[in-house]
Amino acid sequence: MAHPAPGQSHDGRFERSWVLLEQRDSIEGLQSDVNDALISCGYGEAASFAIRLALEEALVNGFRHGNKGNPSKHVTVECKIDPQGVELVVIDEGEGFDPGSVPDPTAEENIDIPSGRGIMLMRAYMSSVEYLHPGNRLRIFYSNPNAAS
Amino acid sequence: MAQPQQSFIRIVKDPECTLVEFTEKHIIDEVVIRHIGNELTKLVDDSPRPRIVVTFKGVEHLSSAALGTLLTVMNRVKAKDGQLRLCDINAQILQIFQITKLNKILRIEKDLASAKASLGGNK
Repeated sequence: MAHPAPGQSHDGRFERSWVLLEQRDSIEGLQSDVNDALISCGYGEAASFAIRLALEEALVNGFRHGNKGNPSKHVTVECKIDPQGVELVVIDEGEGFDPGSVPDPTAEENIDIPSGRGIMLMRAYMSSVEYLHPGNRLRIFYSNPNAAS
Repeated sequence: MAQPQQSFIRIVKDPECTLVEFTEKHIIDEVVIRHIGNELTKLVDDSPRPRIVVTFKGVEHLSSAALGTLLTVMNRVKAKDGQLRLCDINAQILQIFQITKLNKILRIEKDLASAKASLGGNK
């Protein structure tokens, strides 16, 4: 599976975007393309695990909370990979989201509530997680721990 | 109306407990997770005092939605004064439980033998 993915250049860089409807096949295709690109760009298993997890959470939030489950609305994903890190921008068609409105899922009073852990996991596995104005544009960045400084 | 039901778990009943295994290595698809939740809920509802061990052998990925389903199941098991154990969780998945601090409220055992051994009380 280490063949160059579409969008792959020859110097360990990758850049591509996708426009998706909420269909499992499309999401799996995206995950597979990103994973192939990560491998081609020299990233290891830890990066693959972290990025798959963060991307899945970002997509679920975009489709479910951003687009409110509307099957005709899209989520756009922009991905840039280089030796320094991996940037993913996930854009939904919603009105925006305030991440501060999500209660801390690890607080004692919330610990057994079933929802609200997606953003926490993204923050744990990514180097940065930002909701850009007006809040329907999520930028997540994974810094390559092996990058030359 | 009856509809074909695809199962994403395998249920093995033995005298000590009900063992649940996942048939998927990635538990991230919301439809799959909803099915799993429904099957686990039925398992809990069908038992007067459930004793359930969920093994994660072969599971490579887990999403926050799957964590939510496990919490819902745990709450139902507790409401029936039952017991729930999770086991055979690989290091990467275990880290997800630790980050979310769910390892403090979900009982996680190293393997099936220790999960079974940890089940106390009435069968």
